[in-house]
Amino acid sequence: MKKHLTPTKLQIAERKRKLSSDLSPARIRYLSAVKHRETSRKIADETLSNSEITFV
Amino acid sequence: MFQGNVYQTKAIKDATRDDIALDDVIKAFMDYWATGFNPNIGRDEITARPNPPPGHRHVHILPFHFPDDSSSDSSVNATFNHKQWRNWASQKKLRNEYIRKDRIPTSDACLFYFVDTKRNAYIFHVQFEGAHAYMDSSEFNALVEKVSYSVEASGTHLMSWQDQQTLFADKWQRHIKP
Repeated sequence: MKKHLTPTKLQIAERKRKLSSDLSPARIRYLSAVKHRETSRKIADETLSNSEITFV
Repeated sequence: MFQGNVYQTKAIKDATRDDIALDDVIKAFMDYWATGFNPNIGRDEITARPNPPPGHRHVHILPFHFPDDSSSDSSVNATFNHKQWRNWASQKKLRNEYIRKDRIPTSDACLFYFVDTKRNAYIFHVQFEGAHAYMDSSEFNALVEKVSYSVEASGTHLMSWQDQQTLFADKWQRHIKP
């Protein structure tokens, strides 16, 4: 059984490490940049595709 | 407090529900338009590209990223760096000094808008990065043409270049009745 436990613990540690790196400041900055790039893209696409522009 | 309302396209209004940062930028601009200052809003200038219709402007917004400080191109970074934005935010009283020295912070992130003769602002786009390259694109050209046509077709008259020199002059102050 021990042989099975050891790799499992390693796997958990690996998952934790990966999760931690996923939430690193660099990762957050990257995700933010992607999000805001998409927002700018979305605004331009909608404005250009709509037949009428409405200001609210 | 200054006169004039701020309007935004429905596309922007819808997008603010999914992007908090966009919502913050719009609110910062509204504050700037009403009071003349917001730390997240930098240089406000006439958009020179494409051949600008009257009333076409953009403000530089506080960016998420700054260029590498070690960059050799000092002309680009003179007003586009952490320090410049930090000073701008903390030295409100020296705002006139900044204007005199043409040292208002800039960035490569911009909010684009039109202003009419009643000093109403119409926000039609926010570019979070690569704003200067975007201004050179054919897409931006099409965007400007479509929006300015739409504003004028609604009977709104856009502000002339000369009148835009005094956007925050006393004549635009709201007069509160005693």
